Amino acid sequence: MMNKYYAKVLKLDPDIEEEVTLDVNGIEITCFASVCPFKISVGKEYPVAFEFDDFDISEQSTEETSLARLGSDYSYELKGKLDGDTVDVGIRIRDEFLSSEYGYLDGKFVSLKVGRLDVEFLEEE
Amino acid sequence: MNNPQAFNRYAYTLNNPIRYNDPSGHFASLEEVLQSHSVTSGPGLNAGNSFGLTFGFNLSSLNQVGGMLFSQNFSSSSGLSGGFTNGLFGHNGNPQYFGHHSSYFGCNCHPSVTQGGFVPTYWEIFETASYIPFPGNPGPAAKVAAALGGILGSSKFFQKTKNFFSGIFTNKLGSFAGESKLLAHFEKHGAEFGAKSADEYLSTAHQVMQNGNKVKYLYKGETRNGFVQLMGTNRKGQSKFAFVGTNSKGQITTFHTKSGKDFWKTLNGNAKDKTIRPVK
Repeated sequence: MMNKYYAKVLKLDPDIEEEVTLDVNGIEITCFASVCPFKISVGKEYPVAFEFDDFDISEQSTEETSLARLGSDYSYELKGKLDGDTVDVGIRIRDEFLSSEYGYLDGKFVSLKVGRLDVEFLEEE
Repeated sequence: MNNPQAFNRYAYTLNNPIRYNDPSGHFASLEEVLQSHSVTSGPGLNAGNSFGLTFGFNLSSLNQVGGMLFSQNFSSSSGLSGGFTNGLFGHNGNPQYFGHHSSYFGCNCHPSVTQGGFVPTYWEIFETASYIPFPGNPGPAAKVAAALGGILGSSKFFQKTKNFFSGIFTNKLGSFAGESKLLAHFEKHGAEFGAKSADEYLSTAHQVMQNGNKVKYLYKGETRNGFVQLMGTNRKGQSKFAFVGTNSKGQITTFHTKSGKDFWKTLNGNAKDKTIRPVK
């Protein structure tokens, strides 16, 4: 089941049309709108889901929940508790690969370094 | 030959199938030939001839006008262009006027280089000409070359010439709507392709446009043309693609990698529909 959020568009980048800055549950996230089948506008809210592609994962020595952008691109360090195929870093992000390959980390706090945090704009049901 | 990969009989396009292609089996690609420093002229060819042949052949395949211009400028043996060519490449000029750069420019400009020289990019020809030292007393041909090289290398004419030819290439293959967009995309996505410069990033996008599949996709309410080419797999074992997006003007709007659901949803609107449907 997809973790759907309603996100408010705060900013659209003038040079990179896929770059969006969103407010999701009070968290400001600049990420990459990889899937966006319809026109979006600043100030409006849309249903979205987050995902990532390649990542490095490790077990945390602490129990931190955070989401930190690593550079000027869309790479992030995500910290939170792994729950099956979902990691809760302030927002819940699902990836089937987490449960299929990292079941031994289930229930533990993990740190993920993701190369690009993507957001998918979902069609209203 | 200064590229060891060229000796590897099992390597295709210098082991970089995204950046280069080689339909004939003889060259990596048009852009690679134009941009590489590693192309050597064949036996019996002097550097001037090599330039003429190389640029003529490749530019003709891309743009007939460009090919003719380069052929005239770099392989002619008479007139002003010939003087420029001979002087710049040292075919008849004195090698001392060109310093160590003479080894780049051909067979007769340095005693130790008797057959073939390294072929620089056409931009490097101009740019190098602008800073070649002239410690001695240059001959007539070298003086013409120096004058032309100085003009070409330091003046607005050089930039206009460079922009003109850049325009030929990029208009043919598509480019970003502006320099700032190219630089911004390179900053964000260059690492995904291992590109070390914006030019290399753009060149790689052009390779995908030339060699990949052209597809339709929906983005922000518009049906657009995209180009996709398989790169391999990501760490999850999913197919990973290079993706070039364009707008209705044919300008590149994005160039990044896609894999998994992201890729199939972009192409087909459905993560389970894993079919690429090329369009003409």
